[in-house]
Amino acid sequence: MNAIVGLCHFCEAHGPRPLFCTFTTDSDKNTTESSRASVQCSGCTSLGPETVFVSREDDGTIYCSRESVPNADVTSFLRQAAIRSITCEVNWNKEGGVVYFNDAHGHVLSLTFQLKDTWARGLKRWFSIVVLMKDKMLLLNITPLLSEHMQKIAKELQELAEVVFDAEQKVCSQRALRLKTGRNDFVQSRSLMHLTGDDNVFKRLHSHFTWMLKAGAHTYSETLYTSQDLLKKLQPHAVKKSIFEPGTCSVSSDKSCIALRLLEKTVSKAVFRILMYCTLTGVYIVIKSSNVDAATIINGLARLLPINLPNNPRIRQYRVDEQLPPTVCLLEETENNNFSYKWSGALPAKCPTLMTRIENSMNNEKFNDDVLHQHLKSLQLEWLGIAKAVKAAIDSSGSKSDAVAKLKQVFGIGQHDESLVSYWMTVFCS
Amino acid sequence: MSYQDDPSCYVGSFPKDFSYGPFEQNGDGDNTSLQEDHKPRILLMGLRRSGKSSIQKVVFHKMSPNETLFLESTNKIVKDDINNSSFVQFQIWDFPGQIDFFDATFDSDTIFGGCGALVFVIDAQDDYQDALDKLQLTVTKAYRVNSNIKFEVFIHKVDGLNDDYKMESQRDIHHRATEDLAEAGLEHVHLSFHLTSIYDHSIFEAFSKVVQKLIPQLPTLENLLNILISNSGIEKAFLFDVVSKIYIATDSSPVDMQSYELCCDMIDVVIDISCIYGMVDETEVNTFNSQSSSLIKLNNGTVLYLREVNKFLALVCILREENFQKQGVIDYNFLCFRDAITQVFELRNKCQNAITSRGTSGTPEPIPNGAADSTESASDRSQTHLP
Repeated sequence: MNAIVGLCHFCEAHGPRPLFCTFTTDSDKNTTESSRASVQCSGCTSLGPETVFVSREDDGTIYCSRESVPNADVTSFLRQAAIRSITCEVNWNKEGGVVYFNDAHGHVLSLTFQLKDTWARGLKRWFSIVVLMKDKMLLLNITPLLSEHMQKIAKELQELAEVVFDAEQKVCSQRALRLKTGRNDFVQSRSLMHLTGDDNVFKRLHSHFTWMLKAGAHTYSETLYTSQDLLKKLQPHAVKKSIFEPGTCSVSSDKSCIALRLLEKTVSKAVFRILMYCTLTGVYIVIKSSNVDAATIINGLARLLPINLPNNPRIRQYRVDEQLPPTVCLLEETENNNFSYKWSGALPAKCPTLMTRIENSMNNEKFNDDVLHQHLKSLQLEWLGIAKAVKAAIDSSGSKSDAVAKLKQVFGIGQHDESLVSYWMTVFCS
Repeated sequence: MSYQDDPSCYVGSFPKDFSYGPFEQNGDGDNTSLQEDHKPRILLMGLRRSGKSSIQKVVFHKMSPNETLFLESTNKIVKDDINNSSFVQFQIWDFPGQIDFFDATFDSDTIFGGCGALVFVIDAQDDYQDALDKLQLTVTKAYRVNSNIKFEVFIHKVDGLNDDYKMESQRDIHHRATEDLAEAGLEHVHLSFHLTSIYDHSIFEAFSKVVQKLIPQLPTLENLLNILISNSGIEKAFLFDVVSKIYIATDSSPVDMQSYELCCDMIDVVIDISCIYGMVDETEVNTFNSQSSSLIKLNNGTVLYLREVNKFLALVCILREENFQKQGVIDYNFLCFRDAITQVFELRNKCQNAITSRGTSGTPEPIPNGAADSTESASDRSQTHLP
């Protein structure tokens, strides 16, 4: 588990300070480098700058315990955690655990507890165990596990300290002594080894903290899913014909695929708007051209649709001598490379939102063609998502239902978008 | 589904002004405003082990001074609400001496922004050079955040020192601290110095002076006390906050330590007696009530007279025995005084923020008005009140 487990205390002279920490690493450098001794104080030192406890796993993971962390950023994070866990965060009980989050530095789980100490002012000293982690969700998930173990560690230390405390009180009662002398002189904080009467207390802590790191790693292993992987796993049919299909987001850069702005220039703006409207709302288009290759126009118009249907029946080339119903939009090349159209329909007063946005982005001179096409792709995918959602809502609660109306309102689908959405629902969302 | 359409429906957020208003004043004059903004803050700062927590515990929590030897080191900012009476309302923040609160990770605006007074405690029994350095740092930085803070320096733990050394160290600390400030370009910042110890009454006296500076009504109260004593033949009168034994006002004659101690002891006696014998039933906690009064005659011809003003305030007077012949007049004058105090409370409740000494012009004057010889006029009046 990628975390740092630390032990902090409240020093009579220096305030809250970290004094011991365990972390995982995979480089031997951390195990040999000496810690920087921050202050000369018996309470604030644990192993000393030169001692490092190391446990090795077979897979190369190294659990390493030392007085301070080599990395300066982490050192300040650990110091902050010491200050915050002991002097700022408040648990419901006097002693107890707290989880707090800090997106800038990292997230911390802390447990504060007291150890009895005859020499301390209140006959007690404050300590805290902190777990520092960058991964918020992982920390939250293993908090129950870790805090249980942290409590056990605290209890173990408290029991050891209690024995020492009782023995020392028997020799000389601090209460009587202080009342008699009327003073309580300053003495340096004693080290944890003195407090617990156990020379191996830091070895114990090393094994406890290592266990915590290991248990954390065993309890939750993290697999990185992209949203696509996850969706495929959870609901394979939902991925079909959606942005999660491979290649959906790629824009064809074929030579045969005419750029939209060029197409607009070729056919003139007015004609292009008609073509665009017909393409987006599924009106049949037939192209009759002499000089320009009809296929390039067909491919160019196909850019406007989110999914490239092979041999889209609604946009096709003119076959010789065929009779077309007036509802079909016929694009015809006249002389001088001019184009005209024949269509019984007309553009509505208010075009579909998507069409307006496409026009806006085409007019945006800051977009070059590549950016424009990529941008259009994202707009199309957005509306494809909308169409899918509406379709799912209609399937589950009927097209007239209140829920569908509300959903449409939320998506901002107006009357002018209806034709587009219903076309997309039938063609792209099956 | 429907709540989204209903704009008047608050989910998870209350309207901004949704909070408790100040309580209505009850008969005892005990009103507690929950709006923290009105509560001035007193910060206790200083090096570790200088005695900050001990001061707070002894003055406001009745801890015996010996017990402070067993206080734990303060690891958090301890916030203590003092809500005893309408006048004495503040918060005490006791800081751990080990932590530098000017560090960028602490929000110094929040700490010093609403602060009324900063008490800096210096251990006089220790080498105080470090403390003076810290004092200069604290004052300059706190002043930068909030220039309205009153700075008070407690030269503390002077009980172990002889008088010469006490004076010498006060002079020395005063001299060096003001010099340090002048060096930092803050010669206009005023520091007040107090010699204090938790083993005698000096800490209560010093804290009284700190608190008095935070009471905007102080001139009014002083004025009322002046009128009272001049008309009743009283030598010295203190208006006490009973729970903490700090006096929130006294008349304008100088305070001598002995009479203050005498009055403190008297309050202790009254409280103890009423706690032991005044309990009506088990559930009643506060035995000090509107009926409480006490009279102690000393064998040097002095009389101590205590009357309660409201649940938390008591008036303690020192007067010559011969001036106490006409107790009725004094009692009557006291009632006028109490009425006046009540009016000050009411006015303060009406306009929490700005109240000046002029605000009480409507209060009734105690009876003899402008009489040259107060004792005489008091006895004149007594004819009408005493049978």
